[in-house]
Amino acid sequence: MTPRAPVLMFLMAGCSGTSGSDAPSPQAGGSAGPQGQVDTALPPPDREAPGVSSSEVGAADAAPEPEGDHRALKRMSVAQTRTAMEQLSGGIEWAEGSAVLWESYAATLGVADHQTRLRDNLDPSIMYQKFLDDAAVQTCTAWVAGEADGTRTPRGFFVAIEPDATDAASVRANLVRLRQLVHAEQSGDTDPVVDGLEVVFDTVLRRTSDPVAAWTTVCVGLFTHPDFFTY
Amino acid sequence: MTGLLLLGLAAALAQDDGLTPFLATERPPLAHGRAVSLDLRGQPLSLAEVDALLASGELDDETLDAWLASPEFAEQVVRHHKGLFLNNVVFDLDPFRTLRDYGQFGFGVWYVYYLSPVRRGAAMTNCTDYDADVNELNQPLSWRTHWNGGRDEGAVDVNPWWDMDSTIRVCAYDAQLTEVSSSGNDCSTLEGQSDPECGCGPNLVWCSTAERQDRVTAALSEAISQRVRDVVAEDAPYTELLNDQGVYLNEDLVDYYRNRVQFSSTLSSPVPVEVLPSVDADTWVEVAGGEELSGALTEPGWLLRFQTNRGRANRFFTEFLCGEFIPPESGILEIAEENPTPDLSQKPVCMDCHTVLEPWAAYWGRWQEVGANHYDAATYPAYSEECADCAPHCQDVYCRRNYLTRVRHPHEESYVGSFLPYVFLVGDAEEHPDLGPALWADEITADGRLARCAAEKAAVWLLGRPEQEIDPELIDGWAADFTASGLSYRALVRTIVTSPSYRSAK
Repeated sequence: MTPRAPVLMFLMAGCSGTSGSDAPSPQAGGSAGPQGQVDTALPPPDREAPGVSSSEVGAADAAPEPEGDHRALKRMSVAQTRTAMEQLSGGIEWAEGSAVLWESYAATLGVADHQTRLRDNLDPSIMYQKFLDDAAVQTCTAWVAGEADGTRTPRGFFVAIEPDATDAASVRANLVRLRQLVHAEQSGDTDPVVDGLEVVFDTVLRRTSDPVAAWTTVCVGLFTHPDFFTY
Repeated sequence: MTGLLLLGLAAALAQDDGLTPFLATERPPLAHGRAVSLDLRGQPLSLAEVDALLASGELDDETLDAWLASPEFAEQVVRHHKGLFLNNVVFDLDPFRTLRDYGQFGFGVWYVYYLSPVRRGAAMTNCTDYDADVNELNQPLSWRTHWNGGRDEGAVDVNPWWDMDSTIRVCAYDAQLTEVSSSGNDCSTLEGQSDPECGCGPNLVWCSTAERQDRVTAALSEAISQRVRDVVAEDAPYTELLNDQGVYLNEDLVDYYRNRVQFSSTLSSPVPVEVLPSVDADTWVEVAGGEELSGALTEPGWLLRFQTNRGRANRFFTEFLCGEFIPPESGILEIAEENPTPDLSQKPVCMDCHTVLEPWAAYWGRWQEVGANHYDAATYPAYSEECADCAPHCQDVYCRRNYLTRVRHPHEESYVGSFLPYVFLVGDAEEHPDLGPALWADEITADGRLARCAAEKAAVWLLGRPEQEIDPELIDGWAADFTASGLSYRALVRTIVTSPSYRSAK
């Protein structure tokens, strides 16, 4: 048995706690397998399977329905990421001096050169997310501050709020608009990600009393969220 | 600040939104619109487009058609095709015409490194920066002697062709203006290359720099992308990528073909020098080329990227026929003979793949390997009586290099005097070198295999899934629509991004 097997079996045991009619019946009189192995995937008959909270997990079909052909959610390429951040922020480049860092780090980010690397690496790797975070911090700092002090126009970030406003309704309205713009998410006021971003905004605002810092953090959160870099 | 950012991010990312789709679900209009925009334009929706989509509830035909007609879409198709053509040439075009600046040592004087033995009498030897004693042709009249015996003739000032407003210091031997040397060699051709009286000519026009050469090789690669760009922009039939007889030129290529290609053994101007057009910087023009041309498949950017005919055929087979060479399940045969046949289509170990590959490679038979020159039938007939007669001990370099003159295996006997690409070709394949890769492209267009493979590659690109996971019938349907559209690549992509398969995602 490989070292990984016990972990897998433990996980499988956790998944088998279903009372659906399609679930296999536990074997009577214990759970020894054909070769005397203990089938730990099934609970002993004298003990109930652990319950789950419907409020945490929600309802789901016991077995997935067959799927038709579909598109895979894809990670943006480096070019798409760069273009998206620059377009959304009104042209702010992730740069150091005259060097655009998306280009400087292209090889590290797995951009194909069609000689030594034939295809773009589109894994949502730690490396990609680290650089995305760096780019987001630089872009957001300039973007939010620029719109807040009026040096960047027209506004693309403060689309439903004045930069210095902190009332809950306006903040939430702007978060909903940003979710539409940055993530193409149209759930609106019922969107749970907006709830999370609201917490982010409030937390930073409480600690800094600085709406710009709070919005900058929200901005970084938007750019580093999987809903931004996948589509 | 950083701590707060991290705190905020942690809170945001730890949020379980409960929306991550478990099954593939049809994406809402805004998400679908964003996906289409990113795939077709490489950019997200603008604020105005978000509002328009929210108002209309769907991506309308007019918007989609505008995106498909946009230059941004052409760029995305170019990117996709770079993955097929792999058009990134890394090739040292002509080291013997490359001026180096040894300014890194503080001298700032240019010279041609590889011609030092010819011009200065010692390898790797440059001049030092003192005013040379020269005549009106920059021919040195006196010189000093280096420790290694090489001549140090000093330097002169020159306005280089790549920046006529500036002056650079150039070693006098390399700056010579001689057109015809005293021994009769034309300095503007390859025959003058080994003549010490020949230099880089007026304004150094017969030489260039590494940076300028890189621009030429980049242009050779980019010419293929420009071809793709034009096919998409003009909504021309996809086949034009592979059988069009136009030649794509930009400023760097025209300049190279006019002034320096004559020194190259791997390239020649695709059109007569006198009809080379004037091209502005950063623009491309297409001019009519010869009948031997076959779109991207005979572009120098392709021929120099895949330098053997077998490599060219294999790449084409992989990316435009969606095939691959796989050894038979029974395994490959071992070589038992001591002197195995050089005919790879009969040779154990090789024959399983090469029976198929050899006739395909022959489509490029009239194109130079490790080069991009075309071997015309008048200069290189399929059979040469002269080379057959001089076999097996021909002194003639032309025969020895290009024709079978020495038999090393009985299978070669009947091919003595044959132009090498024709050796071992039988049946219809004997026609392949003369017909060129355009014939292959036409064949797979006519029987639908090109459309099928293009649809498969586009599906993999747009659906983001490997071909094995995509329903073949779906691809067949898209290929049929693609064919019915007259091989409009825009139509193919439109069909895919509006399909239910593209709309649902997970």
